[in-house]
Amino acid sequence: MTVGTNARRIDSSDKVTGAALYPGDLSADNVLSAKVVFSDRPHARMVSMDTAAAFAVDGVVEVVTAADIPLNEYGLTMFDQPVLIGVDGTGKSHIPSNISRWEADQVAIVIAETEASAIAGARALTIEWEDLPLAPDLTAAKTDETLVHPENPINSNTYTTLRIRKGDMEAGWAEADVVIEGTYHLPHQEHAYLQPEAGLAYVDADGVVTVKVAGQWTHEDREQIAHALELPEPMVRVIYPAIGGAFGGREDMSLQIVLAAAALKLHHRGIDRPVRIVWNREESIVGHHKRHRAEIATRWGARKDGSIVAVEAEAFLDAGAYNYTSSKVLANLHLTITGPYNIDNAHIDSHAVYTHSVPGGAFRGFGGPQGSFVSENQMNKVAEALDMDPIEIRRINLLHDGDDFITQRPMPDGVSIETVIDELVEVSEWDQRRPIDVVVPNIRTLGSNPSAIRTGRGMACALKNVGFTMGMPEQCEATVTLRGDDYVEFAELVHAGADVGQGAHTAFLQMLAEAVDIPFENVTGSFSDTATSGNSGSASASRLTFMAGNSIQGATEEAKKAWIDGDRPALGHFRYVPPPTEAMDPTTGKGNVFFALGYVAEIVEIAVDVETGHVRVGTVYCAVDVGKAINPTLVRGQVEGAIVQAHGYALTERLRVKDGRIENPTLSGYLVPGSMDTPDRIETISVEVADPLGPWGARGMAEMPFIPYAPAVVAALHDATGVWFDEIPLTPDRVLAGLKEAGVS
Amino acid sequence: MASIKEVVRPTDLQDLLSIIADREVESRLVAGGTDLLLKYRTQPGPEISIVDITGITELGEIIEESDGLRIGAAVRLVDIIASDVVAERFPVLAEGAVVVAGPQIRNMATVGGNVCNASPSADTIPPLLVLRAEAQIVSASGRRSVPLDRFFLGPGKTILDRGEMLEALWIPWPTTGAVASYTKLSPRRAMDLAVVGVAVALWNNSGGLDARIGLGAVAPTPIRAMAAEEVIKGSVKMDSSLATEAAQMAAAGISPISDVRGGADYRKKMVERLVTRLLVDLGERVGEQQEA
Ligand SMILES: Cc1cc2nc3c(=O)[nH]c(=O)nc-3n(C[C@H](O)[C@H](O)[C@H](O)COP(=O)(O)OP(=O)(O)OC[C@H]3O[C@@H](n4cnc5c(N)ncnc54)[C@H](O)[C@@H]3O)c2cc1C
Repeated sequence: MTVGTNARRIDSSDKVTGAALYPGDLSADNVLSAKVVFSDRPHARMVSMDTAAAFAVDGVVEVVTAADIPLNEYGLTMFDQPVLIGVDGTGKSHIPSNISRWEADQVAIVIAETEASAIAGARALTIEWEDLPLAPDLTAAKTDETLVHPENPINSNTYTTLRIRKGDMEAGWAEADVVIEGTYHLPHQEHAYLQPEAGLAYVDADGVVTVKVAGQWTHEDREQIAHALELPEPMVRVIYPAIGGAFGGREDMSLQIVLAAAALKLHHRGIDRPVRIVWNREESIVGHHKRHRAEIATRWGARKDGSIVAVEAEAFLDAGAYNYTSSKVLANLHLTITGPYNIDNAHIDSHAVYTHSVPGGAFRGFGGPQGSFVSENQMNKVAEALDMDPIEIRRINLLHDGDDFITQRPMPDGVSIETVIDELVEVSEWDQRRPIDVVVPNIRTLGSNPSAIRTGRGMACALKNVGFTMGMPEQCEATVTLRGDDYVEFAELVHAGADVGQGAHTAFLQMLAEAVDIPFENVTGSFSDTATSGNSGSASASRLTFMAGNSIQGATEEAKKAWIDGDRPALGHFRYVPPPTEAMDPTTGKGNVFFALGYVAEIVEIAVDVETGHVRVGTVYCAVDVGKAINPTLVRGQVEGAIVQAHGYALTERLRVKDGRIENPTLSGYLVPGSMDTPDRIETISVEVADPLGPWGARGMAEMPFIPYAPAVVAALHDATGVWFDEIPLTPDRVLAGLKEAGVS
Repeated sequence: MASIKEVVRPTDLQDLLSIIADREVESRLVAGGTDLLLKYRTQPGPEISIVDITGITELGEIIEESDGLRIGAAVRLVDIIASDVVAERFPVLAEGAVVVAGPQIRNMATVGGNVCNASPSADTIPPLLVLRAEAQIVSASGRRSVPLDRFFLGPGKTILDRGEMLEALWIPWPTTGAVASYTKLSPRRAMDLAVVGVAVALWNNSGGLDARIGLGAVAPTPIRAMAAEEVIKGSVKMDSSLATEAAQMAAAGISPISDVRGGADYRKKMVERLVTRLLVDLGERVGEQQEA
């Protein structure tokens, strides 16, 4: 048995010794350095750009501009962003290339002998801009006075709307004994992965444009590069070295296309030298998308017995200047506003709105954290209004196998939220209400005033889809080779799936060893290179273990057949395609949208110092249905990592975005939790209710523990003080102001 | 990035002083480099020479003199924290040093760098202010000594003239029975700057109680809350109503900025609460004055 063991990560010793090379570590003989020039204009028309002064700088070799991008457009779900802003575009794209809509729109790539020369060259570029009026946030953008994308036929910044029309709202409200209203504000969040964006590119001897970079989906990167540069896909090769975290932040392009364009332009000039770009932290924070800001107003009706009889909501998602994956994130937000509950009557409108601000995009949870913040706060408030236990009210409303989801189609089999909650309640001894012992340590030397400390406990739960779903095509390919004579001694895997630091490649090889039935020591793999492996789909959407496991099982079966036929070595290739899903009906939200889900529930215990507003989290209990833990240590790593990241979202991280600009693009201004700020204890409760489609029953689980944390902390703070907070992060000054307003401090 | 022309590390103080007196070269002193390197990492600037002061032995020494303690400008924070004489006579200074950043920074950072960087939130400055520290300044043309509360002009600005450097901080031995403490509030528990820092010293003299209060992160420079000190001066006993009155005075006297760590209102409120608590706490520990 290898599946279910804590096999040691295959990359562990290289990462401990420093042998593992991340993109920023890559170099080569004769390498050139390049600098990405940002527009630094949230909304402006480029009047002219003169590169002469840049070329005059000592060491500057080449400057890549819009003219060098044949089809100057990019976008994972719609092509709405120029790769480079410029007045000299080819004009082939429908999206005007002379307008900057985001402070980090890229305008040029300055290539030079050294980084210092590239920086000096970048400073020397002379660009004339005409500033245009701003729609920097939801409030301004919703008026449509200034359009972010006037080229869109709809003539509105609100460019995507989703609807749920389920049941009979009038009947629902008529049944309601209590009605709870709330308006929730969710903040941006920065991924803050350890490794800022970097990469190396060159054109190889066969003329293939090769890009080594960190991403989440090699084949998608290749497709986007090939699209913009109008190259056949086989002429582009994307290779991932070690990746220092991703969390969704590497799903969109940062350096991929421009690195390729730089290498290609040099090649066309007869300069066959590799080129590298390394962003610093500020460039990383300014230069890539964020978790979306959102505003959601809602009204829930419940009967005295606790059952929810009506949900009405309107949500606005700040997409920023370009769509990225916003229309998909919106769908996830939309479908999680009603939580993992069986709700008969619902009327929900969700909108994505363009603003002149940093784009929102993929980030662990993908809309789930925003939607679930609403469902869980509402559920907890209804429980309070009815004087019910938060667990009991959930039991009354939870979804079960066979129930219709909010999309008016049955849930995929394997609905386990009730089991997850049962295990959570048991391990946390929720029913015993034991006293909470948490020390708030933030006032150094003096300590908190004991009489200012209040403690509380809160819970929240959530579901999250596994895979892209909602009608998006899905696939995952694997190639397996079996070696030996009389019996299989060794097995090799070739797979594109990205190990972004979560340990995916180790899990892949565990599943291979299990499928082939040989020891873990006898399997090897090569990964994440479009030249050698089939398309795996992304390392995102909590899908990779699920999808890759199925592809590995299939490829192993194929290889075993070849083995029986006498092939030595025996080769098997397989493309796993999950059951098809449907997009939501645009007017009612109806549709078979999912094929698999994960379920999670959390309880947090906190203490708050009502004199300073500091919140300290003691113990966190996280019960998550993983279906089958392929590697329990890696599961724990995901739970603890997700909770620490959610801790920042809930409590400490405040991105200041004003007039389209990020004001604190540093880690001394944007405060991720430090090791001394994280919860005192995280108890991982790994629930194993097999998913009918999962490999060995495994479900996706990497995003789920993030999702209920913020509303659970809010509930605990309410338990401690009697005050609800509808906006996060719960920084000390916000908490203190809220407590003061309520007369608690 | 400012370009660095050269890095020199003289071992003789006079050599160093003549280098920085040279008007032809743009030079910057560096001790631990934890502020300086960050500043020049991204800011464009002229070509500079870096003059490392840590080669000069005297600057790294803590010396007990008859009337006070002399702490060399290049004494590292980790040495302050480990010093027996500091622990015994000026524990408030170690309280300030130990809450700076994290261990790696404290192993490099110096007290002189913390003072000369003149950040409003520098953690060793409020303790030094309440200890009546003096800045001992040296240049090729001589020495001068200035009370630390007259050393700061604004964020990053001090009274040091071109060619001058901080040689040491000198602190008079405390009055018998005097007590002092520093407290720092910051969003994060480590590796974070103060949202407010408060140092208080309290002692008895013939005319009753006396106090010095130093505040960080609430004004363009670290400051003393003199109006609050006046409220306490001459009182017979510290109690919570006196503490509150003084603390309200301290809060009324500041007009802090709002930033990522907290709004102006928050900072005022925290000054009030922390000054109150420190005064009450020290009031219970302050000893009687003994005649020498
Ligand atoms: C991650 C991080 C966290 C930090 N957290 C804190 C914190 O919590 N609290 C805090 O107070 N500080 C903090 N700091 C700031 C810094 O570490 C301290 O200010 C430190 O004490 C500076 O000392 P240094 O020796 O490194 O100074 P340097 O960087 O060497 O010098 C700082 C400045 O003073 C000048 N200078 C140095 N010595 C002299 C001298 N003898 N005479 C004249 N000028 C001189 C230099 O030219 C320079 O302008 C932090 C810094 C970092 C990087």
